[in-house]
Amino acid sequence: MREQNDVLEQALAELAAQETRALEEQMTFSDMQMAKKMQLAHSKENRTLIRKHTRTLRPAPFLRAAAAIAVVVGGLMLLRSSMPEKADVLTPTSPSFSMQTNSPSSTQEPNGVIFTPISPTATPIANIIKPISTTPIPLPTYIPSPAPTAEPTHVPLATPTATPSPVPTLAPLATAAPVPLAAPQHPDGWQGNYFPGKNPGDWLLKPSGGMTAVYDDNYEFTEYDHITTPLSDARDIAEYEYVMINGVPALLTEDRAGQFTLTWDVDGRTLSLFSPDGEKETLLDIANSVIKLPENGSDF
Amino acid sequence: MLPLPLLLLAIEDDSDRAFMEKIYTDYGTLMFHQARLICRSAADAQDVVSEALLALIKKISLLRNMPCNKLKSYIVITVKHQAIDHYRRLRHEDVTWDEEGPDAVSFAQPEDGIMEAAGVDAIRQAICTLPEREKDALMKRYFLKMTEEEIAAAWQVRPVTVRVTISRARNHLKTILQERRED
Repeated sequence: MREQNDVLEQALAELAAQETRALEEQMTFSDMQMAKKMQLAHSKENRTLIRKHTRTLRPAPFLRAAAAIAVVVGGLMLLRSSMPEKADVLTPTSPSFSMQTNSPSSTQEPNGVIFTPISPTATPIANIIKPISTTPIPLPTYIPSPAPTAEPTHVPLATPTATPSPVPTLAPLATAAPVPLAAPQHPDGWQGNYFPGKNPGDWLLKPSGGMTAVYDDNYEFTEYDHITTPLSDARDIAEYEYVMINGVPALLTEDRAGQFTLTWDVDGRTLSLFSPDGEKETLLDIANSVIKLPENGSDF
Repeated sequence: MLPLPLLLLAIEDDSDRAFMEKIYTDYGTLMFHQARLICRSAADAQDVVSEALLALIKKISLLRNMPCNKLKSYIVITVKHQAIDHYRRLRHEDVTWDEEGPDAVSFAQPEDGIMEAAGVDAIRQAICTLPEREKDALMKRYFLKMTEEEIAAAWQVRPVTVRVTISRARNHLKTILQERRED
């Protein structure tokens, strides 16, 4: 029975390998690109999924650290609130202080607070309080203020200084006239949001749609206003590789005729650079120089 | 995506996580492509890949000891089967499929050595002629190393139905091999 299972497993494994090979062989360039896009689009969710299902159940270290800090701070606050508030009045720490001196005497602390110890021979409070007198207190008599003098006294004004010498304020220095910053250029009528910063003045706009421009008759930059897979003849693809363009993965393909196509997505748009007879390095330079235009970019 | 009770079975190991992420990095495109061939929409393909990843996590100890070429096949076949099951579930198929019970087929398996004698190539060809469901059952049980309960959960049938299907598939296989040998 075990031998049978082994043979069966081997046959199934070979069948699976055969299917896998067939799958890989039938993957055209466009299939590959679409699958890669799907993988990139969902990689974050799937990585989260993997982490969720393979991580330990203990919380992350930073969460534990935050929890520990919160406990410590909470404990300190609790401790502080449970302590009695400090009195503003200083009391003698030792009763012998006032016992040695028979009469209370005030001393001044270095910080200026006057310290008066309680005298042990002080009169009881009950003896200090005296009964309120019942005899009426006479109201104060009205005494008119003296009448003003008939003539106002002359108060001489202050004599002005002999030679006032005003000091003129310094004249403001002339500031340089504002110089407008060099604005990125692109052909008039460019409808896209991105454009190569390399030799921007040398690009010519293609008549169709205002989203394709050509440089040096050899480099064609196209911007699509949506994510798309630019049409290409997949069978002619000889080599492909992924390169990073300004931190974004881009697919660089070279067909059998030596034509390069570079495609990448930015901000919900697909950008494409095509070079029928150009150099790969120049193509990558142009791609890396692509910048986002200002909102009113078409006004340049 | 379907909620799966795999969280309880999650393996708690950092190296497993790194291993799974590498699998996804290396074979993600192939997985999406396989899923997209069977699923009608990109969203379904994404669900299938997620389900396949969960299924792979469950079998991580098996995957770790697998040679690279077999690992790739295992991943592709896992995605394929997940996609087919997903598609069937969407169509509410198979609720009553093959629910004849254990009496429908005999569990007695006379081990007469037909398989060993036939050889791997003959078995592989014979498997291709089996009904899709039986082929599916064999692949799940003997290549993907799924238990009968796991297959039953994927098919949404009772485990006994799975057992019957596998038994029937083996019997069919032996019959085919026997016929070819006699020819």
